[in-house]
Amino acid sequence: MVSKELKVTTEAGIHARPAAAVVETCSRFQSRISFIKGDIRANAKSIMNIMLLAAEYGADILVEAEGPDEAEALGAVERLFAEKFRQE
Amino acid sequence: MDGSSPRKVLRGIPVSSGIAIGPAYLFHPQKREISRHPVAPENVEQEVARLKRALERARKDIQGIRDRIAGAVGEYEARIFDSHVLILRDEEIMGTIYSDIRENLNNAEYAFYRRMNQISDRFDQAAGGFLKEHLIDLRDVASRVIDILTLSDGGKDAPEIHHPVVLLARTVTPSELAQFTTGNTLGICLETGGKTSHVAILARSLEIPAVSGIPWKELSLEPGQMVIVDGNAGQVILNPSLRDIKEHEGRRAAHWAHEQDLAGLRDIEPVTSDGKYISLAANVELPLEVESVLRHGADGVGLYRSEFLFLGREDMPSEEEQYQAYRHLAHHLAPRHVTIRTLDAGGDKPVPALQVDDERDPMGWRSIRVSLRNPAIFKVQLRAILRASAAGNVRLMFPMISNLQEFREAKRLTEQAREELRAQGLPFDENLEIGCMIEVPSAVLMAKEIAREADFFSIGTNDLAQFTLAVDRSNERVSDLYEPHSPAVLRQIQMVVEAARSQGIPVGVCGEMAADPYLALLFIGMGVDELSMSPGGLLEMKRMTRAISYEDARRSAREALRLGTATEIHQWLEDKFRDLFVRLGLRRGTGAG
Repeated sequence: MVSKELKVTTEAGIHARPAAAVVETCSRFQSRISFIKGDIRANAKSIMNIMLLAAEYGADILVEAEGPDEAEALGAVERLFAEKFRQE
Repeated sequence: MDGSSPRKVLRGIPVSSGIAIGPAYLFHPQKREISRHPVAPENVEQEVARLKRALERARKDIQGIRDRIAGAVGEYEARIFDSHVLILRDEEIMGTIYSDIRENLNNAEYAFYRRMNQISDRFDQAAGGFLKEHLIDLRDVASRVIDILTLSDGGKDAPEIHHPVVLLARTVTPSELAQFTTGNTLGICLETGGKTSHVAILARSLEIPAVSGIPWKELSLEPGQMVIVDGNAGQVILNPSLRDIKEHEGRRAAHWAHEQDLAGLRDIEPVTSDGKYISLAANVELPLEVESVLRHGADGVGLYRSEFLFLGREDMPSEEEQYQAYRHLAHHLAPRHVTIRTLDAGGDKPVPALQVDDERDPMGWRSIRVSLRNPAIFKVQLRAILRASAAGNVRLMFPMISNLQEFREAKRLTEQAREELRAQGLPFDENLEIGCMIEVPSAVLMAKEIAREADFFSIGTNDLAQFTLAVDRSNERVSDLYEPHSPAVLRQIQMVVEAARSQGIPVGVCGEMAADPYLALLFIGMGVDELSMSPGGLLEMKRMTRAISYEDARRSAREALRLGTATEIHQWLEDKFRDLFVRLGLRRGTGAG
């Protein structure tokens, strides 16, 4: 298993559209990917779970990936955060 | 059903008169009432498959909408639908619903609905209101799936209303209300929406007693239990006692007797005692209101709000669809006039396909501004209205004009539409009148110039008052500053009437103020030719018109306009006319009924 803490830097937080980008990205991998905020753990392939995290601007998200392509998956999520969920 | 639920009296705002007594129908935000039907164990897999098919159908439908929006509006806007698709594909959530069906033998609708409700609640409660704005997405997706499950896919659970009910809801949109108005809605009890809200206006025109301002969470009753909605007193009684029912049956009988009495006025002319004819016309939203317009003896339609065709849908109504709606009114009401106002999108009337969302700002992106910036879409409407003019007496009216240039531009596009129709050999009325709504103070100041180029004026008092007073009616903290009796508002109306007079064109008032007998009397005295209101208020207004003299109304208008404050005007009018209005049995403005 690999994990990394990432910060949400988009102003509106992870609302519907960024959540859609997260799910689309994570669904390309076989690994199980979780977003953890505080004591809530969300399956990153479930849009409703990701939205229910209510991850606002500045929130710290612990991302965990576990499976055959876990390193690539974590890398992709990291890029997604860096690119502000490609919302521009 | 729990027969022992206690009697409960709730006070709200009376928004549509009359009294309804009947079984409750709880209308959930997710649109449909869903009931639980146990599934036989051997049919469980079929039930899961049924839900999967519905999810797939919904996904395809949404994909279609997404593609249309991407083409018509843009890729960015279309992306919101990606999240809708992903909600349907959310295997984590859907998995829990499949388990619910399999383990608890719940029907697909119920299992899906229940899970979606849990998620909506969590969205609603999420920290910092973070997800509130996405509730609508969730609701949209959920109701689409429920619709598919209940209506087309087997349809065994179709929640048609087979018997008369009292509708209880947090909120309903006009298009939702339209689904219920097949004669089975006895009364309405709502949480949101004041007297001038869209739904309230619609309830009045459909003559459904309604009370708003009743918190949803107070509605502690089961579907089917008795409810009384008293739209005169603004009261709702849950689980009424036998005495309540007897008492309200008596009041309902009195209300009906009053209506019956008024019905006798239907075919009598609306003239003052000294012979001045006042045209009394109806405000209409739905083609199906034709019958109500005729029943209330209207001289015509002073305001047809065409936006009803555009609300609550993702695409735009086609020219043919619009034409059919306009033609229906023109044809059935001929030779009476039908004044069709072009799309007044915005404010509380979102039109998604035009990117006019729930924008609350009444001074923003709405109405004629949207139409003029989307000439292709606007012309579809103009062509439909012109074509309908061949079937009856149609008048065309542009809303929210704030300067002469806009009015000219709208007329220019109308001329283009005419030329197109001529080229295609499609018939329309060459003498169709084109009028201007006056509801922006800048148009009041330029009324004389606009009157030279318009065939008629119609004063929209709701917007004129809020723009003049700089009060957003929907903002509760300042809404008490919204004073229809304000001398500033009344003087503007006087200016518009004088401008119309000077150019020899007729002028009407079509806002809610026209239905208030005191203000209507002032308008008559100022020289207004037509008062247009919800059909339900027309017969009382006719009784009032016939009881007063034009001379007296003129004197009263002159005197009232000399007063300095809204309160003084209000008081002066009440002192002078209340006794008369009570004697006439007018409900509005006298608190009777």
